[in-house]
Amino acid sequence: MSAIIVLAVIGLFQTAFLVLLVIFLGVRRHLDDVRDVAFVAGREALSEPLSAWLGGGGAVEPFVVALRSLPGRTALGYVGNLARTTIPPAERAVLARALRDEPWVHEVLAGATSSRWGRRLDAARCLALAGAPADGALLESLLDDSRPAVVIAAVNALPRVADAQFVARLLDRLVVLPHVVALYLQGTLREMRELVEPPLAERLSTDASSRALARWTELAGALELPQALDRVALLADHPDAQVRQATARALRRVPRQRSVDILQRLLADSDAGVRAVAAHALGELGSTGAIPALIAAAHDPALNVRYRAMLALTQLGEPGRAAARSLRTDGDRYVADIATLVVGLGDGALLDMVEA
Amino acid sequence: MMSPSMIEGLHRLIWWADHAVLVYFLLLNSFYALLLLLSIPELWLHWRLADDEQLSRLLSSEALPSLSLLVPAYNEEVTIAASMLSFLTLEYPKIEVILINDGSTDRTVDVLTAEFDLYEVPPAYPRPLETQRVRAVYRSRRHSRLVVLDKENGGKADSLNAGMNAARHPYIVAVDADTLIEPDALMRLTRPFLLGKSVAAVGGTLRVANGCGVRMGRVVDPRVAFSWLSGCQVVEYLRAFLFGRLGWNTIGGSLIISGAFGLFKREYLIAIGGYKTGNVTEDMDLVVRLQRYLYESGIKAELPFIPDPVAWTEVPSDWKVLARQRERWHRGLIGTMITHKDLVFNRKYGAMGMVAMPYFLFGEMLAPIVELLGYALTGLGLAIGAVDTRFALLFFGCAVGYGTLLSFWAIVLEELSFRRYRRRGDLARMLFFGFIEGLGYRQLTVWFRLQAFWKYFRGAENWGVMTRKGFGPPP
Repeated sequence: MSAIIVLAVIGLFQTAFLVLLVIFLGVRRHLDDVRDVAFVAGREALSEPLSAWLGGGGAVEPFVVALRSLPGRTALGYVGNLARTTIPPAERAVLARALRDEPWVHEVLAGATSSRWGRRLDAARCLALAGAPADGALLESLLDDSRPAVVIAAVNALPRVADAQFVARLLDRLVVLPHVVALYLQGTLREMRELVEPPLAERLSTDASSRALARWTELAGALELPQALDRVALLADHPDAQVRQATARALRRVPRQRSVDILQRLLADSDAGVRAVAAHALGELGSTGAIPALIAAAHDPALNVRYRAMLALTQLGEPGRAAARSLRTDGDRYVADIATLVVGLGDGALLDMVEA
Repeated sequence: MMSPSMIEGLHRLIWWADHAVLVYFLLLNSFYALLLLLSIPELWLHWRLADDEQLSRLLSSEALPSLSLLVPAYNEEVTIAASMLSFLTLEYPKIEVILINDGSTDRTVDVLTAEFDLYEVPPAYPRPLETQRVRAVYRSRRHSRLVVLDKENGGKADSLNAGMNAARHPYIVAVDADTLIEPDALMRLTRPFLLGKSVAAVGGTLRVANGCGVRMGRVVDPRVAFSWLSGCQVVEYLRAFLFGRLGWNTIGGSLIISGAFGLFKREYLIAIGGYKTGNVTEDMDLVVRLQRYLYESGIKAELPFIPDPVAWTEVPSDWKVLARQRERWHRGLIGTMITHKDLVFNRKYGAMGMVAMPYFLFGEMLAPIVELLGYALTGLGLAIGAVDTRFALLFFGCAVGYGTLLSFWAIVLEELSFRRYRRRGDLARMLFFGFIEGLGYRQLTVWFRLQAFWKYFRGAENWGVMTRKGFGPPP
């Protein structure tokens, strides 16, 4: 009897719950429709001041005032989308200044200290739209957030908020970030090259950890910062292979004879990873003087080094390609196979393999 | 004739067995409910992130890892050109597409050669995994990122291993040739990397393509199929992916990443010897061996499931094909559980040993036997008067009701998050199929899964034929 009662109670709850779920789904669809209609109407009301502003001549203020008709999160999403797709970079700064004192912006930014991560995420996104140098402390706290999603969103606010001191502190933080996140950060720092270069060059001259030097070297190469890259060249003899590898990678951005000399030296490095990157970099630099060294590297004991050296030869114009063709009849079967593969590739495939 | 004491004993036995089945049912469904609850914050997280992810910014960033997309193909001459074109035009900057022709007996390679202007290159790459002989390697003059391997027939697992040997990038994505991947799905699939996680594998969502409008290898009009069989599978897939797998993200020890759409770190797959060629379901076996390897090597890497990268797949639209598919899936599960039985309740393997493996043993592998036992004993009990009719009806009603409730929850999650099906008619059909799924469809799949035990212990190793009807144009 007790089992029947248990089942009957479960059955009753189930039925009630099922009915509630169906009602919820219906109401939700209806409310979404109503909201969509309101959003479309709000967006239409925004289109005129937006066109007047971006079309030339008009001020941004009427658009900002019209935005007040949308709820805070909706406005944030709408403006965020516009900033990515429609608003030119110069106008984004104008918009940021105009938005900064809007009540809804203050409200969203106040969420930066919320215990709910979703609100902190909104605050980080809002900072990317309406942030100012005065928001440095807020951005610092968001970059320290325990939720990586918030950190990623906060990274996008850097160009709007960060000043020279902030960037300097960020370079130290770059060292401890997971590699992929650091790479993402590099993409944003590209927009702030002039702020990055002095502190980066300074750090590359210090006796920092190998990890730090490798990260900064990678950044100097990715951002192609000449002053910092001068310092990078001095790291080619660093005892740690990861620093030498980062150096070789960065030097492909410095088309000078000195880089070619250093990279040829690194072709004889004790670490196969360094040798492979050096071969790749020599190909990118396009110096025909490196052909003999690359032919030797095509016989390297490590497969990846041979492969990279062979691809590099094909990047050195006709003399390099002729050298690669001649290796098709090399006595070493594996060298000959790689040469046949690389020489037989179409231009597109070759480019794809070089870039990989 | 049985003596009164024997009849009394039988009554008691049936009563106890019925109640044991009831307890099993309550425990199992409580675990489903737990998975559902755990999936909600995960779904919220990914929905928020997907909400306005700056995908274009990501595309130009160096942060995305390089991927090798592996596409095994066997006798796909009719659809292979369109499929490959859709893979080659995916929105992902650093990708190579490796098609592995598994000894097709039709014109698959000829079609590819004509369509993509293939030319042969020497197979100059190391081969850490043993596979059937690769007859030739081709590259395309029209699409620099395409590589075609023509090999002798060895099955899907063997093809994936051959593709893995040839892959140049550190991560591989295994897909079926007829899987329709949404253009930005690969970028979404790499979200865990961007969140700074150490990742061994990532699973994406599979959805049912039957009934959808498809153009040039892309789903352009997501619809819920009208047919009962396909419609029930729409709800089944929603339930399995939206909370079944998402809930495991929090628990850890996820054991399934779909073979039709999953990303793996190549280095780890090579370390475990790649896909196992003797297994009829390569995906679960692979993930269990991968998890085992990670635990035993002390490598801290996650296998998250991400709900918003979507690939669409054609599901069986007739009973015979569905029967073969479900029997094969369950046979693979049995094989994997028996091979790795030492992991069950093994504390050394953390959440996998203490939660995932016991769940898959009792909640998945043995579920059809328990369900059959429940039906049989209740029927017998009713016949001899050992079971109260009200109890039997209520029990059946609750079992069906629980399934319906979970299906409706999955639909609610879909509605609150990604809402791929925009039309009200699609929502109504999902609710309808969610309601009737427990009345026939579920019982039949139990029967198909029961056949797997018989075939497994007879030593059957065949895959069976998956007949596909192909996709139609958008309505």
